[in-house]
Formats: sequence, structure tokens, C-alpha cells
Amino acid sequence: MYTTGLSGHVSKSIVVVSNDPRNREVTLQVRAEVLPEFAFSALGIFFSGEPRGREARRELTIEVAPGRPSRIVSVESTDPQVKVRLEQVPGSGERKYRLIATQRADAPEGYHFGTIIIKTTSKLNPEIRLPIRGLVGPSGGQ
Amino acid sequence: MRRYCLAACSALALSVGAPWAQQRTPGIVFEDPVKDFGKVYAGETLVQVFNFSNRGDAVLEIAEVRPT
Repeated sequence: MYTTGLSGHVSKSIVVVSNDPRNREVTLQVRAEVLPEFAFSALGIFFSGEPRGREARRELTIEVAPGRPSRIVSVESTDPQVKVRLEQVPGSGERKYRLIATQRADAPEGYHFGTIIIKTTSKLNPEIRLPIRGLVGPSGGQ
Repeated sequence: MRRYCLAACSALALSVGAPWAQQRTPGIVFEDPVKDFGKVYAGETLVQVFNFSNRGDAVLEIAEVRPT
């Protein structure tokens, strides 16, 4: 069973059909409780309607599951209107991070989209992607 | 003569399958049909081998294995 993208209690079944007249179909089952290796405070970065000419900032936190040896190595944005950077939360011992996304002040009016690519040392999740969605409103004295 | 006729009829009945004779059937038995992996981290691939045997007295044929 592949657990990428799953969370919580998960079960999958397999039906085996045979010529046994008393057990034509036998159901096999695998179960697991799937935990996130990296817990995010939000599912993505969303900017909504900041006026053109003003920089906007969003943050989310990322926490490594207790007992996991993984670290975050880098973050990058594929959206040219959004810059991202990573800070370690002091005292967390590389277990908690703050991802800071900044929408450029000179971003053009309208929608923009992209992805944040987070690279980690984890063999299970070497790369995590989060969406960026943004809308820049009209500039002016508003 | 009567004795020969009875023996021949019995042989014929056995060869075509007598209705009172026990039908041979396979019997599928899985050692452990449920596997609980407990707590795992997202991204792990969980592999389980399900062992089974035929406890019947006829050939067991697996017709299909399908995930649901």
C-alpha cells in the first residue's frame, strides 16, 4: 500500500476469488494509521486582493514529526511574483520552521499562480510542493 | 450371474460419480487475512505477504485477485 498523500486511519481490501465452494470470495485487509512526517499550518500560500504597489506577506509553519531525523534543506517559489524564505524557529532544534512568502510590490494586477518547492533530507518525502495563489488588486490611493 | 451384475453396476456407478459419494472440494485458508501496520509515516510503502494453503482434497484454483 502506497501511503503518499494519505493521512489518518486507512484501510485497503483485496478480494481473492477461488473455486472453494465454501469461500468463493475471501477479503484480505491491510490497515494503518498514516501520520504526516511534516505538519503544515496551512495547505498553501494565498494572497487575496492586496493592491498593486504594496508588498504583502504570508507565513506558515512546518513541523517535523517527533522522532523523525528529517530536516528541510531549501525552499523555492516557481511564481515570479512571490519570493519565499525559510527561518528556523529558535530553540526548536531544526524541528520547526517558519516559511515566509512575500508578494512583490510591483506584481502586476490580476491573478498569479505557482508552487513552493520544499526540499528535505527525508527519503520518504524528499520534495514537498505547496500551491501559491494570488490576486493583485488595482493600485491607487485605496 | 447376479453377483457379477451387481459388481458391474457398482463399478459403473463409481465411474460416473455416484450421487451419494462425497464431492471432493478445495478449501482455501489464509493464515492471517488482516494486517494492521499501526502508525506509519506518509510516504512509506507497506508490503504484506498473505500466506494461504489448501486444506481441501481437490485442486485449488485462484480465479481472480482484485483490490477494492
